[in-house]
Amino acid sequence: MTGVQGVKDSKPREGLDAAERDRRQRMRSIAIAVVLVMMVVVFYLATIVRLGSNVLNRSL
Amino acid sequence: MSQAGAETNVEAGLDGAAGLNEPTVGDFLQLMKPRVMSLVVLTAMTGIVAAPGNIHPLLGAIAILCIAVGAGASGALNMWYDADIDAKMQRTAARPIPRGRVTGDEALAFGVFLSFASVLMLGLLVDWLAGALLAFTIGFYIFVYTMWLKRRTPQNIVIGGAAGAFPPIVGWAAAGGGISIESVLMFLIIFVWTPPHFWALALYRSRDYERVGVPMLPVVAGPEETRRQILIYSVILVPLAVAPYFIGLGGFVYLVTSVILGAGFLYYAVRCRSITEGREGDTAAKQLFGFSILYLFALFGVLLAEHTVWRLLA
Repeated sequence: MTGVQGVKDSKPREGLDAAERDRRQRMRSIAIAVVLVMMVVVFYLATIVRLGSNVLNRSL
Repeated sequence: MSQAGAETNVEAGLDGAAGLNEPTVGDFLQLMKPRVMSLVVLTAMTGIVAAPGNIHPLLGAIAILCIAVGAGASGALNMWYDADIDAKMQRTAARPIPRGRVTGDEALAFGVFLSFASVLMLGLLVDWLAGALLAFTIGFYIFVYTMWLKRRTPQNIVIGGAAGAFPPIVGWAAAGGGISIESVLMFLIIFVWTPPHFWALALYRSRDYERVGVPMLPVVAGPEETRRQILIYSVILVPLAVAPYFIGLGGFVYLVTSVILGAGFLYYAVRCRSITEGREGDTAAKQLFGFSILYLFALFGVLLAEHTVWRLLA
């Protein structure tokens, strides 16, 4: 796409060797994984905090 | 960044980016304007801690995280939209998009995702009013400031500055305090602080703005009028920044800090007004710009420290 400001997004990614490109892709994947895991943990903990003692108050 | 490097980027512009490199995690972090985020985190945290009521520390931390990410999302969307002029300005030529390290599409997707994620998380996990205020803040920064005002009026940062002033209001609301006179006062302090802060920067970067056609006040009205306006806003700002003491938001330490630093702010603003020529004029503007950052960090830092101590002693 040529963006709103004319940024040429379709340019080929050049200037890096394959190993460095793989390393950067791997680091991005790890970062995304860490963020997703953190989001799961945050949602879990926040739910426990918001429910408080009511989390135990249910019929068995 | 070196002058030569900056010039090369300026000349290269977007078309000259030497092929797009595979972006690193750091490139995406840079899109979030981490230095701006640090101020947002401090002011939002102050809003949360100073608000009445007891928010659970975990929910408080989540609120700060969401507000910081929302600010980062605004930064990424701003860089996406302004990539064309960023490439031609010395101050911004090294940003990830002009350097060809991140594409416009990637920045757009990153910014949109973070915007929705931060607003939804804040609303779902902490407080829906805070979530709505964060959404409004992001929308105001992107649609009102970046897309509408920035390239059209010299009052761009006067009105657009509201976006940067919202974090303490969002933080206060996140802590369950709704919208109150205290949070509005914190908003006003940042709102009135923004024009002298940015105009001081624009004074010694006016050629950059002129080159890309952004109508900053020094470009449109000239440096003399800008220095006059800086002084006017500074005179309004200093008593406003002392006011938290008189409504019980700040304590005695805050009063002393705001008076002493306020005197410093006025000193640098008067100096900026009186030294207008050549390199010394630029230096005076740079000193005011630097002091303005210290000023706001100190005001909110002291407010935060005072409220933290009060909570611990309560």
